[in-house]
Amino acid sequence: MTKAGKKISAAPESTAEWLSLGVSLMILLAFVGAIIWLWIYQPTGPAQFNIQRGVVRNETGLFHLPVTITNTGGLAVGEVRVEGKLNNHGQEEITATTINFLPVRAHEEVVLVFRNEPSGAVVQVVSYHQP
Amino acid sequence: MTLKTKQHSPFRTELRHLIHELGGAFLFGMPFLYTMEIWWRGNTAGPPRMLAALALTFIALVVLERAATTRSGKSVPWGRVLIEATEALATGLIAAAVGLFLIGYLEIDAGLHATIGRLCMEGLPFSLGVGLADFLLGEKEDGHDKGGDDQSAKPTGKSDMRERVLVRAGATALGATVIALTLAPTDEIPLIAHRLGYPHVLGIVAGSLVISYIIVFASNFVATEARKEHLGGFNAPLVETTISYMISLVMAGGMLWLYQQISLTDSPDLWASYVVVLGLPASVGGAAGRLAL
Repeated sequence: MTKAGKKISAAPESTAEWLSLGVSLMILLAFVGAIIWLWIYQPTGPAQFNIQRGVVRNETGLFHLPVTITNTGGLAVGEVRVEGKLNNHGQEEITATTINFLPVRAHEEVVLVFRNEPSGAVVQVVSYHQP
Repeated sequence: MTLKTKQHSPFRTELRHLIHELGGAFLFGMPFLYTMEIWWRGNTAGPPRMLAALALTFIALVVLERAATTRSGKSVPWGRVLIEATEALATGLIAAAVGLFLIGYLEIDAGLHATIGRLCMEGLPFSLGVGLADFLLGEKEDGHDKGGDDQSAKPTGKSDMRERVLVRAGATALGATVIALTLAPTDEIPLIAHRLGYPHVLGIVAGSLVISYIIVFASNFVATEARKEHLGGFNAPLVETTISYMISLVMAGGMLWLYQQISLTDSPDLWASYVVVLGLPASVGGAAGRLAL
């Protein structure tokens, strides 16, 4: 908005106005730069998942296994079902959870809870929804 | 009534201008912050769409800024219009970032793509808010140009004061209700509230107070200087802001109860988070109600 009560020039008239314009341009350039970077280095193809396990916690007799899922593919996905399967002396224990939404390059930590020590468990994404 | 115009330093003038723009961004952009589809679209928008959103917003801002200067009858060079549109776009993006951070949807875990996407999509209504505020409300230099509130801001007696307090409380309640009515039944309120910890809830309280103060007392939409000069009762800016926020919270709580989002048997934690989350847009609505006086 223009300031009232004086003749208005096309260019900034004071250091303060130059500073304000400079900061605004920097913000916009940072935004546009980030978008162009995303465009150039945009992952392609369908969703792919990187799964990283955390340290198991024993809480009241149950084993909590934190798992971080990262979407390294080129598509955002929803309803990502993460399943942990543990074979304990011939008995199969399956536990699962769902991540509502996982954008491109985003990561989300979930916790799978097992009755037995889950170091040997197989953790994988078993299904997801493509919005 | 003539009021002496104070000569401010260029930095102070620029700061007031920035605060004016922020006020406009929150005033018009707040309902869009509570629209989850906008966050989702930001999550999935590709870079070309993000650039298109910024470009379209910039064009709309140039039109709005030009229209605002034409409406005010001033001759303003195109270069200045472009500068104003640039600053409005940047301010809108910053305001959107503040808004998303307050409601917990500006997180590192979401990744750069989703973060920039959400900011671009939310930045659109927030930036347009800056332009719309300039076009519809204008900026009153030193807060004295529009005399509408000067008359009512002068306390002349106890009954006048009581009446003004009632009118402002009523305007706050009405403005807060209008906004709270539209947002209280939506899924966004539980969606946002369930993710928040206590520090975040306190952050929203602080944000609500600061934003409503900016809109009413620092944005120069109306004769804000004149309003600030009078102390006592509801006319003290900080007291008015605090009491109005309380009124907004009560209206937000009432609307949440009415639309069965919360019930009397729910825990105080749930009540607090839901009411504070809806209290943010409600307090902006309340501020808008007081601006209309």
